[in-house]
Amino acid sequence: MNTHNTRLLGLMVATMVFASLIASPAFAQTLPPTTVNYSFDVPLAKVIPNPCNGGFTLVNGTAHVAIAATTSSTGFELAVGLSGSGTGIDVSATGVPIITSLPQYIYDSSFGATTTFPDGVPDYFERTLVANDYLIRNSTQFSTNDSYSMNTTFRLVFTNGSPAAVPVLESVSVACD
Amino acid sequence: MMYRSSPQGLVAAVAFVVAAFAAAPALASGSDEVTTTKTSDQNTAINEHSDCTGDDITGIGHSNFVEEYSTTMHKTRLHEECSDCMGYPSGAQYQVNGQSATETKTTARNYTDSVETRFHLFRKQATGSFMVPPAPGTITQKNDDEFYRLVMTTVIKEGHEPQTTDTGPQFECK
Repeated sequence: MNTHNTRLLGLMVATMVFASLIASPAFAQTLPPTTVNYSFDVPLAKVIPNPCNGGFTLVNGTAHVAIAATTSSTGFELAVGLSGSGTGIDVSATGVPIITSLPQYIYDSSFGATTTFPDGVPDYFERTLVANDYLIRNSTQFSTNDSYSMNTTFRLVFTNGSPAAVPVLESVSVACD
Repeated sequence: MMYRSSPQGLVAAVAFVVAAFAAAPALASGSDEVTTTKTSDQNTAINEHSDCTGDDITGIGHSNFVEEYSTTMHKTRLHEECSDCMGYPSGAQYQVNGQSATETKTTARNYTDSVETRFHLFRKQATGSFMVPPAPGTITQKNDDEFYRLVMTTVIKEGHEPQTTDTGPQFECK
């Protein structure tokens, strides 16, 4: 066996040893978690009924969706953060602004959800996430007694651990407290 | 803690609990999957201090929890209500009337899902009108609303019923 063949054989053995090493559970446990981040801004511009005064509100806002997909030796984790803020003005049913002496509505909130999969990345995962917002007139001095709740539902779809599409604004519901 | 079997915080003081529990399997429409529905109704004694208003709040809270699940789907709907909670020493009436829902669909058979939800706690005068009624032609009611958050965690394990628990509440002042 010449020097060239000896070196080749040595390289093959080293490769096999390395391949078997990375396939072993002990090696897998030493792998650091890896995280892939995604973020989306979902605009919200919608005329919704005002359940407190019988009128309508044009809500303008943005929902920022932040997703962290983490793979580690203990499984796969999807963390979803939803932060939203916006304003609302009094409008007609067709969205035409109505002049009133009342200040505009404001809302601001943040929510989160975390899902862990001990068996690894799922082929398919779909979830809803609801923002429980409260529309209140923008005034620190008084209240107009017409603040109300707005629940905004977003649907997120993941294939093989990655977002399959931009989060979808599925529905908006309101209730007068 | 199993869902509402040992609630904490606002719904913590378990002096009076009435629970009704029913399971009703049904065939999911359009598939061979069997969907199971569970409903839990509870009345819970409330004995909580509000850092936002300084009141001690007492009363009976009511929660309704509906859970639907199959091998690929899990849905929850939670409604929390307290219509006659009272605050001392202010004498104000506190109310909660909120609903939250979650839904997951997946090919995974084992997973744990934690989701945060928020409920609005607001106060009125004992008669049901607002704490500071607006005088004719003026608007005077103060903003002293507050919220509480619950984290609902569901463990899905193949061959077992889902286990949903909640932690909290955590209060935030407006």
